Amino acid sequence: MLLLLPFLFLFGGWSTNDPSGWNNLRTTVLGEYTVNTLVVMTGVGFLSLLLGGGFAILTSLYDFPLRRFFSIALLLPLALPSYIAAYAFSGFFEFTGPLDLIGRSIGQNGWHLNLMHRGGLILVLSLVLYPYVFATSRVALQSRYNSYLESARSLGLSNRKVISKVVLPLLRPALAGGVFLVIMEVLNDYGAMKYFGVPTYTMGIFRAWFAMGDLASAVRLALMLFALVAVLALLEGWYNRKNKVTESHRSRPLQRLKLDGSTAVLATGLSATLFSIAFVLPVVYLLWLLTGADLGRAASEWATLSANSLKTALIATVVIIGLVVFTQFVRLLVKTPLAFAVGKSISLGYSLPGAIIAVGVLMLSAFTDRSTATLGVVLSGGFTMLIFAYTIRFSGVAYQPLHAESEKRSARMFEAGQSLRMKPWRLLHKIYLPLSLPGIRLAAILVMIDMLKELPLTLILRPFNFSTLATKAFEYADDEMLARAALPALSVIAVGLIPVLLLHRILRTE
Amino acid sequence: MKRILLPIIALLLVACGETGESGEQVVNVYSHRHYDVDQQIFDDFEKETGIKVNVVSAGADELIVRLQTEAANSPADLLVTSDASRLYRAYSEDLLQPATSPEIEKNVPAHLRDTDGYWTALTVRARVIVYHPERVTIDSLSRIEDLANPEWKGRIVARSSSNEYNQSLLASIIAHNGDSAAEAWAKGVVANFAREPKGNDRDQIKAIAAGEADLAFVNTYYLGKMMNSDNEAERQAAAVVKLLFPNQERGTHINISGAGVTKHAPNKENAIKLLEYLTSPTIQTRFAEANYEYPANPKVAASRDLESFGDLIPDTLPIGKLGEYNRQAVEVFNRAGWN
Repeated sequence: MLLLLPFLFLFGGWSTNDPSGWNNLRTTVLGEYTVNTLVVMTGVGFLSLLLGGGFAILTSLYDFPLRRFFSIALLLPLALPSYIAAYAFSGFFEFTGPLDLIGRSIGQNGWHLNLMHRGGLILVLSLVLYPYVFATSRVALQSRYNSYLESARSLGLSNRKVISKVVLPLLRPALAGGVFLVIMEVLNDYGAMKYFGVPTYTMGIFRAWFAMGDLASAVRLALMLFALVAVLALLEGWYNRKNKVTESHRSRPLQRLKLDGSTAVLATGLSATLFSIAFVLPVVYLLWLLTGADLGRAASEWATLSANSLKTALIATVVIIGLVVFTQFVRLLVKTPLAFAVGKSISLGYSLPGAIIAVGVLMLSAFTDRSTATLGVVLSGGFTMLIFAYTIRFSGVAYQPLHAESEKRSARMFEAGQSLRMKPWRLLHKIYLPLSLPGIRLAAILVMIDMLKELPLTLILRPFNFSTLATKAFEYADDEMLARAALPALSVIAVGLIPVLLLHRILRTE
Repeated sequence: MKRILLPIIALLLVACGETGESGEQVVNVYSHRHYDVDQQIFDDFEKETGIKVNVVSAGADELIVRLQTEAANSPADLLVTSDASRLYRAYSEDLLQPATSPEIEKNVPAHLRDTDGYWTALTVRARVIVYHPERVTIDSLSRIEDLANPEWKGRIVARSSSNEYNQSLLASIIAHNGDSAAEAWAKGVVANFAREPKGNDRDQIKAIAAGEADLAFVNTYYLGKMMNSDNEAERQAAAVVKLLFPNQERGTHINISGAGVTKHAPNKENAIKLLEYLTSPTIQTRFAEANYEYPANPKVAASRDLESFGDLIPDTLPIGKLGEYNRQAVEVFNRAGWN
C-alpha cells in the first residue's frame, strides 16, 4: 500500500478553482499533444513489431552466416538510453556531423539530413526499443512451440505457410507483450521528444506543472496518459487470453533451416544493416566525439560515477525483485481478489513519467515528515527515498515476466505442495523460487537495464553530491556540451552491455 | 535464497544511508547550474573557508517543487537557477528569505538584485539575434519586434517554447508591450518560421550555417562555446553567423543565473558567505572565462570573445518582471502555436 500512497497525493490535485490554465491548454495545444502521442506510439509500436518480430523469426528459425553473433548483437541497442540515441542519431546526420564532414572532405556538400521531426523520432525510438519485441519473441520461439513447428514441417508445409499459419499465430502473445513494453517506454520518454520538438502528453505535463505552475492541469494530463495506458494494458490482457497457446513440452532444440546462396547473403546483410544502424552508428559517433575533446570532470570522476550507477542499479534490482516475488507468492498462497489487486497494482508506477512519480514521492515524504516520525525517517531525503521511488516506477517491469512465470509454471506444483500442507516458507523455498527462477532472472535483467538508464527520478530525488553516469551524461548534453557527454554516455552503454549479454544467456538456456 | 538476500539488502541500505558528521561546516546547494567550473569553484570555496559545499543539481522547476514539498524540513540553504523567472517563482512561492550583505551589495549592481535581498544575480546572459550577413541586411532589423514582419517569412528558426530562455524573452515583451501585442508578435514569428521549433541553441546557429534559415535567437555564450569548440566544423559554422544586439533603445533582453537563500536554510551564514564568494571579482572572472557569460560584477570584464561581439546595452526592466509574466508567456506561446 505504501507504494500507492504517492498516487493519492498526486491525484488529490485534480480539482481546481482556477480553470484558466486548463482552458488555455485545452483550446490551444491539447489536440496537438493527443495527435503526437498517438502517432508516435503507434509508429514506434508498429516499427518495433516489424523489426523485433521479423529478426526474431529470422534468427530463430533459419541458419545463416553469423546468425549466432546477430542473435546477441541485435539485443545490444537496448543498452542505449533513448535521449542519448536522439542526440547521437541527429548529431551523426546533422550539418557539421561526421557524415557531413566526410562529404566535405571529398568535395561534396549537403551530406546532412535533419532527423528532428516526428518521423525521425519514431525511427530513432524504434531503433533502440525494438529489442524488447526481439527478446520476448525469441524466448517464445526457442522454448515453447518447438513441437508445433516440427509437426508443421513434417506435414510438408512450405516455409511461408509455416510462418503465416503456425509461427505468427503462436507468436502473437509474445509480440503483444513486447510491443506493450515498447509503448510504455515511448510514453515515458521526455528527453528525446523535447530535443526533437515533438510535444506529447508527457511534455505537456511538465509544461503545465513546471512552466505554468498549474498542478491541476498537469494531473489531468497525467490521468489522460494513465487512462491510455490502462486501455492498452486491458487490450493486451484480452488479446493474450484470446490467443492463449498451450505450450508444448520442452523438446530437443529446434532444427533450423539452413539458408544458402543469395538468401543467406540477404539474411546476413539485413541483420548487419540493422545492427550497424541501431548500435554501431551511435556508438561510433560518440567515440568520434571523444577524440580530441576535453572530457571535463566526467573523466576524473568516472570511477565514482560508474560505482554509483552500478550500486543503485543493483540495490534497486534486489529490492524490486524481492518485492514482486513476494507479492506474486502471496497471491498464489492466499488467492483472494485483494492479493491479486495488490500484486497487479504494484505495476501501476510503470505507466507514469518518472518525474511525476518523483514529485508524488516528495509529497508523501513531506507528509510523513510532518505526521509520523518513524515513516519520516525512512522516507525523508537521501538514498532510501530514491530506492523507494525506483521501486514504484520499475516494479511493473519485473511484474510482466514474473507474473507470466508464476502463472504457467508453478501454479499446479504449488497446489500440490499446499495439499501436502507444506509450510509457506517451505513452499517459497522449495517450490516457488526454484520454479520461478527463469522469470526472476529475466525480470532482474530487464529492471537492471532500465535502472542504468534511469534519469528523472535520480535527478530530482538524489541526495547531495550524488551523480550517476546517466545524470552526468544528461547534464553535459543539457548544457549543449555533447563531446563531454560522450564519455559517461558510452559508459552507460558499456555497463548496460553486461545485463544485455546476461539476457542473451537466458534466452539461450530457456 | 531469500535468507541470503535480506541481510544483504539491510546491509546495503545501512551502508548507503547518509550520516552527516556533526560539527562539520556545510552549505547545501540546490542548483540548476551544473557546469564543471561551478564544481571547481565550490571545491576552492571549501579549501579557502573550510565550509563544504553539498550539491544536488536538477532542473530549476523540479528543484522548486522539491523545496516546496520539503518545506521546513528542507536541508537546502541556497537555490541556484539559470533563469530569473525561476528565482522569482521561488520568491513568490515564499521559498526564499532576505539575505544579503554589504559585500554582495558592493559586488552586484542594484538592478541585478532583488530590492529586498531575496536573490542576486551571479551571471548575466543576453538573448540576441544571430543572422547570416550575406542573406540579411540589418537596416530593417533593429528590434526583436521586427522579426514578426512578413519580410522574414520562412527565414527564422527557434527552439521550443518549453525552454525557459524563450519564456523569459516573451515575458520581457509582454512587460514592455502588453499581452495582446506580445501575442501578435509571437504569431508573426511563428508565421515566419522556416521549420517547427526544435533542438537547442547550437542547433539554431547550425541551421543558419546550413542555409535552412537566416535568423535565430540564441544566448551569447552558446556562440562563444561554438567558436571555441573541439569540432572544427562547429567553429566554421559559428564563424558564418553574425550577432545583433536588438532593441538598443530600451536595451537588449537579458536574463540572469542567480541564487537566493532558502526560507528554512539551516546554514544561512554559510550561504551568504558563498554568495559573497561567488560574486567576488576573482570568481566572476572565472565564470566569464570558462562559460562566456557576462559577469554580474561590473568590475570584471567580459571574456574577449564576448567583447568581440560588441557592447551590450542591457534592458533595465526589473529582472523580477520576467518571473511575474512567465505563466502568461507560456499561455501566449500556446495560443500562438509555438510548440
